[in-house]
Amino acid sequence: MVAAREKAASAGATAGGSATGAAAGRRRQLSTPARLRRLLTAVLAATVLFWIAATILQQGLQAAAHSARDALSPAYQDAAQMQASLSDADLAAWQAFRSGAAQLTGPGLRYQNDITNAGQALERLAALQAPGSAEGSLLQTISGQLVNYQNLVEQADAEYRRDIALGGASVGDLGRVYLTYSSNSLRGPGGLLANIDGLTKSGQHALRDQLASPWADRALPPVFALPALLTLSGIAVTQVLLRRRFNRAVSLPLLLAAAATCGLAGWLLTAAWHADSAFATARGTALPGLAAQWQSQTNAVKNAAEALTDGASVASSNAGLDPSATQTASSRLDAYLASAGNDGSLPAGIPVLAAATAALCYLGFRPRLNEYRAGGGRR
Amino acid sequence: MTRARRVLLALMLVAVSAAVFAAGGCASPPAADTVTVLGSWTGAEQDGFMAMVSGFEQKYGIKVRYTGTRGADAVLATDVKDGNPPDLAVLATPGELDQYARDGALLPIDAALRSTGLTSEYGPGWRKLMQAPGHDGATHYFAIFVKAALKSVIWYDPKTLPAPDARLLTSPDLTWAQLTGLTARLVGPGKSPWCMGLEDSSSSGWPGTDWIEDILLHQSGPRVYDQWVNGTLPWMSEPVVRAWQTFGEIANTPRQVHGGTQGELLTSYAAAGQPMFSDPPGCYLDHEGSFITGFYTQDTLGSLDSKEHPRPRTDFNFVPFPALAAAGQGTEEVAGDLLGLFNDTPAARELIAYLTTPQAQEAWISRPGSGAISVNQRVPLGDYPDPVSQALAKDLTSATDVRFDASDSMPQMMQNAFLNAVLEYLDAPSQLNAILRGLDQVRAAAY
Repeated sequence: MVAAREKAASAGATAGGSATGAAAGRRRQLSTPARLRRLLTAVLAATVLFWIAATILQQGLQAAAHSARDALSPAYQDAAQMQASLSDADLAAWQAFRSGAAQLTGPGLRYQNDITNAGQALERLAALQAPGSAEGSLLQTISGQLVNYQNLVEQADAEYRRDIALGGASVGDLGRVYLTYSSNSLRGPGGLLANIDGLTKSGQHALRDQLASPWADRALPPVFALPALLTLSGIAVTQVLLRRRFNRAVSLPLLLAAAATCGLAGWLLTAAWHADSAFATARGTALPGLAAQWQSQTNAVKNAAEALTDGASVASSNAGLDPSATQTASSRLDAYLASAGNDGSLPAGIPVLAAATAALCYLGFRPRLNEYRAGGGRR
Repeated sequence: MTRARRVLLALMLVAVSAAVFAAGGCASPPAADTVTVLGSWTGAEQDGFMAMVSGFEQKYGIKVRYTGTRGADAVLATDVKDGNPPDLAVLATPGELDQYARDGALLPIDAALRSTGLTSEYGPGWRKLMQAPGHDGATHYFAIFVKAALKSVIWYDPKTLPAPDARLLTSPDLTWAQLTGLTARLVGPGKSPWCMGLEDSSSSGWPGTDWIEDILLHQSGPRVYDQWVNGTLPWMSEPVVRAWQTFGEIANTPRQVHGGTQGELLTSYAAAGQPMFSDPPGCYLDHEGSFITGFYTQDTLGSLDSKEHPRPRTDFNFVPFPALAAAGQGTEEVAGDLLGLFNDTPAARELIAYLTTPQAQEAWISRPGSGAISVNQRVPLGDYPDPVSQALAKDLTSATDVRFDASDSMPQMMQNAFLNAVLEYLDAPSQLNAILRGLDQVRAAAY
């Protein structure tokens, strides 16, 4: 029956004339098993291509989310933490000296805690930098400036006590002078806070850029899903051929292969769009919210410290950091970044479903190809 | 292998490569053709240095990554202690050079300088200051002078000083007595003769040490100055006490200095000259090194929000520091910024050698308002951008009897104590004897 159909098809083709060109001629000359083998190769190639594309997309999204969550976000937050802590240390030192508490406590516990927090943030930041990087050099400078700042505050403490011992012999209030030097080393051009501000801004830009990376573009996932269409087209063409030549209405393996391809494509698009959405929210809302929180708190303590330097009363300087507010904003950003990187079992699902598609396609083609092998040269 | 299989294999290879790339496995190691430099130059001075190295970057394709901070000495000390210094660092003093060379942190640069014209282009006095005994006990070159400064200089604004006073001030025979008489006439409501600012981050107080050094040099002469610098003349000795007291007659006397004691202590040396250009002027005279022109040209004329900046000769000019006694005539105090090698890389050695050349030195000194002076004798005076810079360079290079900044030449411990002592003296002038006794105790330990 198959041979009769092929003969009729061949006759029809001959009657159709020779004006359709060389390409059409080559197609007419292809035998059914050759066409089947070509179709199988094409479907398998499309499946492998889809596997590759899906893996690239999944890996790209993972890398983007991983980089944002584990490197860029901590780097930015540590820099912001350091900036806020040192601004607060400056305020705490001024409050201790201006209130007279320094006579008993030195710059005070709040100052010590702020310095400890800043030092720890600096250590974490240093651990994130590649050796020899520009940021690494800047961190070295910041580290030295931090030591210099602490030395000046200690000198202020020593001179403050000396001034008290000298009584009326002291006319210059050297403790206050050294405290001003320490603040200048912090706030002045090229000072500690200016350098940390550079780190904070570059960290924020890097994180924002990462959240807007091409991997987080909503238009990208459909492009990567295009090979799935090729697989489905190949399966459809095969199905038509099988119906015409072999009178097979539906091939179950091919149907299942199509379902697996559709499932994988849907899963991939859903995961990618979910990550895109998390990136977009992190970039559009969570990151600006956190940045605004750090900025407002840092500015508040910085302005209060400057006012105290300029002679404002200690009673009026009630500014301070609010760790719970920054913690809430930070947790929100972290949650979106974690969500962006959470693609469930997709990394395992991609090879399993792609391999299943390839195997099912092969199973769909094999009986027909075997018919020709068993027929012994039926062409 | 069939064509289909070849295509599949190629696709797999592409996929693996792409996955590795996407996973971020393409990090590159730090570039070997970068030199890191730490220095205290910021603002216009930083611009000058970057202009100096831009020719090097173009010529050698090596990038110079410069970090400038006013507390560079403290930053360097921390970096060296952590075992993580920059390739090159600016050393503010030969005292620092000696210390780091002795500790082995600073590396000899004899080999790097061999191909340069150092011996023919730099005077023996300057070359000697670039050398120190190293970790091995032998004397080596450890640093180069990037730029130098003339310190025995008093600045004034020719427009605001009354004409008779200006004539007296610029007289070549100006004496200290004439100068103090002139300053007494300049005292008035809201105005003082002297501008002064001692603040400079971790090095605060050095403008005061410059005052005392210049007074001692011009009051007791170079021989006494050398004994004091070498630690053989006690701080409680008559010449030193007299120099401090003379400084106190200016710095601790009400209405002699703009802003009073608190103003002196809290004003940055870089901003101290600004009131000289205000309308009306808050002060008339400023004792600062020649580098201050780089800051004057950033100041504003008239009011702080003015867009006009002071210009050399029209708005500021200088006279030499007058002798207080015959022993102090014809001598001048100088200083310079040294650059030393802390990480021996080929790129860092190339940069060190390049910076000694007249071509590199000209790039900085020719910038308008740079305030930099080259000690390379092959740099022509005509390369300086204005008549004031030319006159400063001429004075520096033609001076026959110069002394390097004393505090910069002392051991670091002594220098730090000296800086702090100046601030303490301004804070409590009645404690001068106690302060000087304390300095003598430090001297016993530092030398």
